[in-house]
Amino acid sequence: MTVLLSHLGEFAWGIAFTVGLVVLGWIGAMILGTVLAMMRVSPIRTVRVVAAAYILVFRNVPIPVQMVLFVFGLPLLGIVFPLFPSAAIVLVMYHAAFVCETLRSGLNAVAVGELEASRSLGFGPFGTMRHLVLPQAFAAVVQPMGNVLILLVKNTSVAAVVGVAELTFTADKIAIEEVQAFAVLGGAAVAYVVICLVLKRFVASLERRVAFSK
Amino acid sequence: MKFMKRSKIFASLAVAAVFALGVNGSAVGAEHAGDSAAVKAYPPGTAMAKIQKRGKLIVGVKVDFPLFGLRNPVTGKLEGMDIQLAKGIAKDLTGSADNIQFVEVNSGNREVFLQQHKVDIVIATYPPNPKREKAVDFAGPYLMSPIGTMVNKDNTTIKKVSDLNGKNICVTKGSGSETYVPLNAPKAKLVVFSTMTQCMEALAQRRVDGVTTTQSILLGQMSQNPGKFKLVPTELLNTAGKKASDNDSIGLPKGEKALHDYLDSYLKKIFANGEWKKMYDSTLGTVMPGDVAPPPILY
Repeated sequence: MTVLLSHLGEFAWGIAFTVGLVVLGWIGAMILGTVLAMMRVSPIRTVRVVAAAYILVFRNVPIPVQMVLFVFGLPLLGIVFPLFPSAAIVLVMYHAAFVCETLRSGLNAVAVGELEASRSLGFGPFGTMRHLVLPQAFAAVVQPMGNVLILLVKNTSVAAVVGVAELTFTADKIAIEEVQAFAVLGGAAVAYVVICLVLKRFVASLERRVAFSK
Repeated sequence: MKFMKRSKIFASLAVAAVFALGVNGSAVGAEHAGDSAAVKAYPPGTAMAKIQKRGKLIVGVKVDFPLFGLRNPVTGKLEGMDIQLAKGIAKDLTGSADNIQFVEVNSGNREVFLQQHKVDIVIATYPPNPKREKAVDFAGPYLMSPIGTMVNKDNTTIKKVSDLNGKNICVTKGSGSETYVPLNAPKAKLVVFSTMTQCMEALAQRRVDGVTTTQSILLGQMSQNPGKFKLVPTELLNTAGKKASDNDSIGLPKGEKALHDYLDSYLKKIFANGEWKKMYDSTLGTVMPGDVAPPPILY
């Protein structure tokens, strides 16, 4: 316990980096995932195929592999990103695939009759998407989307693989320095649980709100 | 990398298990033959007697440090100074250098492996520091090496310690250099990776300007990639204001006095009879300039 207290500052920075990755990763993944989901249900075949190919690659390659390929592979092509943005980009690309597939199940839940009604009322395809389909789809998938969010929190630890000083990396570093793996990593575990609990509360309140709107 | 590491540990455990079965088989043979081989007997209850009864020595080593402990990708066999030293101890205790089981360790789990007696000793580029000395005991050292910085061959901006200021410098997590670099060059930007391999990769890709660690480790890495890098002898000072060096020692479980004394006496023996020199010359001596005398026993 004293080990944790003497490294409180470092620990706080680790948590800050983890939260930063979660925030950036989640905003990016929601935007990219929504675009991908719309592409998946597009009437144009090429667009559907492109989105399906993206999902095939990014959902099926383990995230540590993607991380290492992005950080140590891309420089071979002459592209070098700093480490923190690299980690954030990989997190966005990986979780966008999951956001997309989660949201798609919501899109499929919207009845065809509603689409027909919207078109006959004069909404174009994008207007229909924006005002009718997406709001209903998002409301239907709040809970499974919360699972993706918690997945993201835990997957930020993979950034440790490429030297980003987030919570897992920091804990590991302190554990090696202090030769006390159990106490330090135990502290990190508690911190992850707290972050997830806070997010779970947020998701639950969102769920109650959409329950009223339905 | 960490995940790869973990899978590597499992793979090597599986290999080690198979290996152990094989060794057990041969250990039976060795025992029969061992009657004639001159092996000193130790009082029952000591770690040495336990190892002799088991018929093999279990050693924690690294497998990704060229010239220290490296799995040869062609033959699959382990090579390096640490490996040779481990085999020497196995031979001294059991009569044959083959009565040995290697377990892969990394910088983060060496203490735990010793504390839980998963290994008898650890020979894995393992210098003592005050916190480690609280968790385990050390014998040796068997090697002392000053600290240096490796840069790309065409680098002209890093020539001395103060040149590290403002540069991106790669160090490995938990290494002495992680402490020494900020102490000597406060404005150096540290990039911390968990393995030396990643630091090398980052240097080759110019993500970092230099890699700082003990010179023997750097020379080992350079031998794997000839012609790409060069070594700058940036002599860092430690917290006491003395020239920092890593004293690679043998780690053993805390409180095993008999084993500690045995290891020190074994080191003294091979320092004196030239066996240490043979081990050194065939590994680190191939890249280290000049003649090196064995280090003094400090622990």
